[in-house]
Amino acid sequence: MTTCALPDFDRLVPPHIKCFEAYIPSKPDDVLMQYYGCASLLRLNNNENPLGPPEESRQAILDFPPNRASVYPSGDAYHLRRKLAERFGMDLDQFLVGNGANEVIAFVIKAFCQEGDNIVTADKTFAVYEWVAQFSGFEARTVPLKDYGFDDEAMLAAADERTKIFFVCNPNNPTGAYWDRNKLLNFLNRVGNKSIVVVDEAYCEFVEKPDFPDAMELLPQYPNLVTFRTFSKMFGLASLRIGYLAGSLEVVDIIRRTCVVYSVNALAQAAALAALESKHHIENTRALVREAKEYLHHEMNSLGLFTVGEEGCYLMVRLPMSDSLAYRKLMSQGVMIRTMTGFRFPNFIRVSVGEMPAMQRFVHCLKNILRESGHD
Amino acid sequence: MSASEVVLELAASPEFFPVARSVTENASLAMGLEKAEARRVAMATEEIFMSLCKSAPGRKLSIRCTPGGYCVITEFVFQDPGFPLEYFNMTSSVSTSNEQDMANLGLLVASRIMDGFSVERDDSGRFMLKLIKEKCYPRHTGEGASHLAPLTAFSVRKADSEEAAYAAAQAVGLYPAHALPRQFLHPRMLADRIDFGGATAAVAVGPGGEIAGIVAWDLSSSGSMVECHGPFLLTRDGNPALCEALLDFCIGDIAKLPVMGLINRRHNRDIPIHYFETVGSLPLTAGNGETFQAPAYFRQMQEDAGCNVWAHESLEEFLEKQYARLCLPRKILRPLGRALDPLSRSVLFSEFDRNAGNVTFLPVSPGRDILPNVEAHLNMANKEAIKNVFFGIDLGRPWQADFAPAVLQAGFSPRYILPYAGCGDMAFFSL
Ligand SMILES: Cc1ncc(COP(=O)(O)O)c(C=O)c1O
Repeated sequence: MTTCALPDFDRLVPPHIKCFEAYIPSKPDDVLMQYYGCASLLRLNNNENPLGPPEESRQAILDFPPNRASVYPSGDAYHLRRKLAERFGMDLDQFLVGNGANEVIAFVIKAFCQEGDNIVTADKTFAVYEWVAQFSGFEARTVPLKDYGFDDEAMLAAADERTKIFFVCNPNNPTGAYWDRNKLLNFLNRVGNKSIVVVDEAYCEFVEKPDFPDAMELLPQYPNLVTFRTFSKMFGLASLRIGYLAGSLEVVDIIRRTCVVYSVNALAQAAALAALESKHHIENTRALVREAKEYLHHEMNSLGLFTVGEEGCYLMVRLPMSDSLAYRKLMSQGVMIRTMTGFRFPNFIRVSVGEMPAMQRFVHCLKNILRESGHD
Repeated sequence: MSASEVVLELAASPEFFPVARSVTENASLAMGLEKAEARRVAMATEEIFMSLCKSAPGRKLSIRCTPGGYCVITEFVFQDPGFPLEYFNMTSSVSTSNEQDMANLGLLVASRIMDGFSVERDDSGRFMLKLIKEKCYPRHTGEGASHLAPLTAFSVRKADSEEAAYAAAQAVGLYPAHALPRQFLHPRMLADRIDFGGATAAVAVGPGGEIAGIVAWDLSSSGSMVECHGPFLLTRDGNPALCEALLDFCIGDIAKLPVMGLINRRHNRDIPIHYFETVGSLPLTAGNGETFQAPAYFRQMQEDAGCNVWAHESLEEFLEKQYARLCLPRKILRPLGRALDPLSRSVLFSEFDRNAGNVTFLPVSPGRDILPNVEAHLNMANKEAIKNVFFGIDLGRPWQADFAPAVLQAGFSPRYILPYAGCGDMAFFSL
């Protein structure tokens, strides 16, 4: 048997793919537990909701007839979009549902960018905007944060006539800083109709501040505004992969052209639909986050550790050691956090908020590693 | 082929020898080497080409000359899967009458003429014999350097080549030579590397535009590690915040690259060592005979997901201790022995850094003669008067486990593990 030579990668692979690094997600719990020799694993790394999905979604999942697994879902999440339209007082064609908010990021970039175009975002934010732009062959201009928040002036200064999209993460993951209503309005006014402005509101349901802007409400005034929402965070449906975008009819009509239909499964659609009916879930989650963050802030301060994280269900902590070393040491005690080196915050870790016993365990393990390394 | 390189394809036959020689010499001149250096490239080409005519007569190869900014890289690339691997063992002696050994001697002679000499194998199984000839740079004396007054405020940004060369020259006057990398001792070299994209530097700048600190970094040839130099502080105070800001900038710059680790091999008092883990150290002898321990400060750039490593039992105790100390999640596996052809000969790559007086041996293929081969390589290093001899074993490749007992028996001791520096972790040994 002859083996054919490898494909001619030099000719086949575009330069922007050659120099791109694939994102390697963490290994499954059972495998990690074996390597790290821990008996259990507390995941505080993905900003999931410790309460899980709302009661209404749990019921929808239980009610899902196994037989329906053989039937294609609604290709464009019709019922969910109708519900969203009703909820927000908009047209159902102003919504596009994706396989997680991650998927809709790609829809927008594909819809508006061509060779030579760029997007503008921050250097220390959710990385997927930057990644999708880069592996699609477009430049991602990443502007340094200012006081841990997006720097509006610097973003405007970084833009040129080839800037098609601004991505603003509000509140920001991982810093928790947010633009208030005035700042967002000012930014939208300055951009005018020259570019699309995406406001990623993946964590908006966690924010209780009165001056926090709801991008959904601003859509009628700003036809170039697009907002992202997800069911992965507040609504605890991360494993089902469902999120969406909303914008003006005209803009969404363009984005729809690049969107892969049938990418959202029926169980996810049913669970998300039910989540929108939930009554106490947001309140309960907010109460939990409030208590846990207060506790974390207090404990970290008493350890002399600097924290960042005004809003959102996560908190960044600066350690007196390398975050990747702290990761390994915490993992060997069964606690998984997210290192921030990849977000360009060396020596910071991000801890997702959990229930109090989980938070106490994290603090206990962190104290152990600080003591071990002579930092207590 | 990139726009700036010269590639020649030919067969290893004596009649083409003048072609190979004149192409490498003229390409070197065109790429910025002086006459004397270009002639040395031609001489090395001569040695290698003639030795190839002996060991692989008539086989096709290509010769690629690439500008490296501070140097010219000449590579002999063998696409041929049947290429005799023994060719790469640099273990010959002049007294031998064996044809293969005579051919290997050619490589050795070539390695003496060059600044850097190594063999690489890429993912598609191609072999590359890589020769580096540097431009000739004056060594900076550090004269005229003096500490700046402490700063009240500063900002950090990427340095252009002139700023970096200036800051490096200042550092030469303020730090001992062993704390400085070659490109700092020769600041124009650093400038050329930066202009060419082979190195990056960041500087801290005070309110009046004064350059108060520098850190520089470059990607390893495998692309999996970044080596950083510094930070070096040019102000009188110890300013940890400034040094941390420089390192933060460096880490931020490489954070999204497919890089497994950041390594720093030279200690200086201003390095914020809490950013690193000390994986170990290597005893080094400098050109002037001075000996010292060179630390290996390492910073993992990714979350460690755990992996298996392959190791011979003779190395297990060392590995277990190191992995426990560094809290690295590893499962140590013992490879099952493989039946090797009784005539199979092991092969080692030799990586020379003649300026530092270093050679590192790396296994390329297993054989029945590992111990004598390792000893022969050691002998060669002794004869060449190379002061620092290292051995690297890739724990991600099961067949390399067989090298451990021979390496230990030949007098090497394991010094440290560098996570994911090869296909898996690399274990480094020194005498
Ligand atoms: C800011 C932000 N946007 C979008 C997403 C993607 O969410 P999903 O794809 O799970 O809907 C995340 C997930 O972590 C996020 O943090």
